Amino acid sequence: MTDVLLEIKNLGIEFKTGEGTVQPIRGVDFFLKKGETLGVVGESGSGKSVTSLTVLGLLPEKTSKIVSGSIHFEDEEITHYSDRQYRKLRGNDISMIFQEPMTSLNPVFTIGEQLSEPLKRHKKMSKKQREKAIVDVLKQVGIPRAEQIIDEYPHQLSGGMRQRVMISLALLCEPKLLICDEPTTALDVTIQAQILKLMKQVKQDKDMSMLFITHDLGVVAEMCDRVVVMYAGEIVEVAEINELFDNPLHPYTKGLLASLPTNNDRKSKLYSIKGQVPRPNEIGEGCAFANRCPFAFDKCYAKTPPAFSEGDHLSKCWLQQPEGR
Amino acid sequence: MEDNNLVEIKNLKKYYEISRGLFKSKLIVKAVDDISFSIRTGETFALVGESGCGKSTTGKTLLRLTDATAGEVKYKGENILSLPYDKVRSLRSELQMVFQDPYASLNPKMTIKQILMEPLRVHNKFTPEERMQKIVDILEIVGLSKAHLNRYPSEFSGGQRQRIGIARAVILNPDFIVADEPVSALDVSVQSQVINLLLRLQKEFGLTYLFISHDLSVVEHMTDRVAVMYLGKIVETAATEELFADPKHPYTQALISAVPVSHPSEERERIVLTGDVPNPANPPSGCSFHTRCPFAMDICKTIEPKLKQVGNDHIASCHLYTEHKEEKEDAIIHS
Amino acid sequence: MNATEVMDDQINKKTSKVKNFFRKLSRSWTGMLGFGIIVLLLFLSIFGEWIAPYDPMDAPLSKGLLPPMTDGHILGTDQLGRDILSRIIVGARVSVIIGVATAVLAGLIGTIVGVIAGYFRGWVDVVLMRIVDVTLSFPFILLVLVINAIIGTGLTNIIISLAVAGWVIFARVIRSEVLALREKEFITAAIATGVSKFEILVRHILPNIFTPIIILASLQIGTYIIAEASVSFLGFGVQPPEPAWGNMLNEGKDYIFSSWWLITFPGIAIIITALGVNFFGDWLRDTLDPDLKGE
Repeated sequence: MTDVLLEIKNLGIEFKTGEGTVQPIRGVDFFLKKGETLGVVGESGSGKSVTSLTVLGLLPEKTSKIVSGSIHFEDEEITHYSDRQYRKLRGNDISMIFQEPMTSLNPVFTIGEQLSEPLKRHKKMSKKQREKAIVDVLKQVGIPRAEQIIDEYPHQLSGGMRQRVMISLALLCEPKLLICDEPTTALDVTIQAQILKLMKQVKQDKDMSMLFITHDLGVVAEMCDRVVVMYAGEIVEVAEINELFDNPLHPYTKGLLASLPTNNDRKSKLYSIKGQVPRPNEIGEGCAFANRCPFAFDKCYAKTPPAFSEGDHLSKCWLQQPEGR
Repeated sequence: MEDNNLVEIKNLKKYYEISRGLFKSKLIVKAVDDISFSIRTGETFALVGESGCGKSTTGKTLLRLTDATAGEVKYKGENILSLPYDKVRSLRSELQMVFQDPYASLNPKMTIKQILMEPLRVHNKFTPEERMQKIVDILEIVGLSKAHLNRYPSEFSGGQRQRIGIARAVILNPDFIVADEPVSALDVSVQSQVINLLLRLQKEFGLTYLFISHDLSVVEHMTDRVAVMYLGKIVETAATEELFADPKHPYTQALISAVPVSHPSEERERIVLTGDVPNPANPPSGCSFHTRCPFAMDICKTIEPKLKQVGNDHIASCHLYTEHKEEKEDAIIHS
Repeated sequence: MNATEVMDDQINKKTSKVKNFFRKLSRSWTGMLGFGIIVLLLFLSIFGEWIAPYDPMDAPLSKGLLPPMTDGHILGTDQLGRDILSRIIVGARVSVIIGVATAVLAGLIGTIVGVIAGYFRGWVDVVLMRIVDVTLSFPFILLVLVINAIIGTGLTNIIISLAVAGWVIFARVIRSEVLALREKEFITAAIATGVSKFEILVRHILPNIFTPIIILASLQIGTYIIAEASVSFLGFGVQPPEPAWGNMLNEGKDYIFSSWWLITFPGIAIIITALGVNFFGDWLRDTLDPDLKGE
């Protein structure tokens, strides 16, 4: 299993809220191979962002705890890491790009100051070397006038430029794993196209692995090698990208793909999944999707389905049970 | 054709003045800069473009939710922008709006009943019993039930709230609805439900929509004609199918090609634009798109192209489709 | 669901709201403490005369300046022989009346001014806010004293002078709330529906500023109680022999070196009250308006 970079096993998280406790993710299981881009797709409340924050040890300590499972990064269990160990990991081995580039940059520091931060912490470099490294990485992500930009503040840049700065920040220490949490959701389509192209190219050049979190199936189709589909805190399906689009097994994935306007005749009624995404406190026994599923039967309401696999294609649905119903 | 137009927008302008302090001249942002289009009865007309292009401002201005700087908006032959405000208020029963953010567009302190009662009360429609019946009916039409009447918006999910927002807009039986990004804040699995609802209501009530969106796949699916906006101007207008099959303006071409693929094996020839959208307070000279246009010529930097017929019911403003010489002379004469 | 069921639903909601209040309160010890102190205070201000062991006005001079725990006087007596515990208990009423009445009056004036300034903007806003700025530039206590000196002393007058000096805080906060609300999409939605300006104000703006008004008022009550005590201490405000914590301090200050209990116990009463009201106000703010919660 040396080619596995990140492996998450049976991960469960508990949040304390004003009303009691909820489990935003339950029994999450997946792995990420070296050099691969793994997509994590889900809607709001699916637990996709919680999963990525857990990997980086960024969950709020007071109100959340890991109740089960493990996370292995390069064959080392990291859920028990101390703050200090996590700090060494973050920015160095694992970097993250967030959705909102404005709020993830500190407005009172110049771009150069923000970019030199991880280098100061993780690499021994002289000031000159640092500046050169920063200008280099800014040029790599296609920022014009890199030498001047380092003295400018975040608010002087456009949304697309800021996201480029975020990407360069993530790339500085040449991490092995790059986690992207909806990196293009806040951007316009033409800018999104630029950024996606850049990320593909950067990934190839640096030989990184990527965990790509998004709700947009189109972006997944463009970027990912394999996909994990999450719904209401659970993984419902894992498959290779073409396999997922050609032969989705879970009714939720099927429904999502069928409801895309491009998969429906113009002006016709779109296929749609009935009902609403459940709130975390509404999830009880059985399959979380059962109340919206057109194929649900008694067993679905009674018992949470395990993962059934067909080669590399996993799905958590009773319909996939080998001996049928 | 002319008689068929429900709404006609002529030379609409909306400029914002930004004061930069006591001794500096005011900055003028041309959010909507001299646009004209007309919406035919019963159709869905789309305004597309990226953030800051002025599409939402257009929607708000033509409903007179903000004051226009110049131009006219003719609704059934009457100019809404020059009517006295009281007249506009009573006209609002025919002109409605659906908002983007279902969390911000419902008053958190009002129950669903109060929210839906308000339009009926304000326009003094029906007797009290009839009103109640109307509210219950409309709730069922949008897929909610009477059990929800005494609940507050915070007890609903985004999709349900958007249904309430839509119910509020259609309860008065309007003729025209401006839908400003009605599905972009919703979860993927709920988006299709709301799109279906809008399509169904259009059939049932004979509605005319102005559909403002940046999501091209939704626009392609549900609209009849499209106008593409860039930096406050319309750069291309065409029937939806024609526009997606044969976009003329380089910006439209880039925009359509930038939409993510719908299947991983799909190969798309993509025009990736360089650079960012310019600052609307300081737009480029000539054609405002020339700084990012892959086909930019010398003339584009100096002379603003006019909208020209480029096909059947298809107009675009680009020098690629104009006789340059004529245009140049024309410009010299005018200047 | 028929009509009675809907009614039941509403009644259930009401009771669950009360339950919800106590459940949330029980999670914060400062909130509980504050709430407890407020309940005690209200209780004393209503039933104080019956609870007090002695008549607070009864002054047997022979029993003057008894130290605490002598002759059945738990907190001792003052220079005129009046029981200090009884005077503190009965004096609670003055504090409660002044705190609540001033908050209501100042809140009312401030809300009206703030709403007008924030909703109508323009020159009205400019004029009103300059008045607020000027008022705020005076030290609060000084302003209260000046007004008090002009209109005279006594319970009603002290309330008036506190409110006249205190409404500006409400005006400021409410104006900014209204300014923020004006830009909310549901207000645009109301305009798009055809709702008139006045109705927007009454139905959409006012209900949404109710929470900040309550929070601010609860936090201001503590300030007013302390201010009343200070003003009474300086000899304005509530006049002796009427028992009030402030004038007890004033009367006791001459004996500060010989008989410490004269000023210590009213002082503690003021501290506990102000603390309790603030604890409760803080909790209320955190619960009703989590956005304002300071980290």
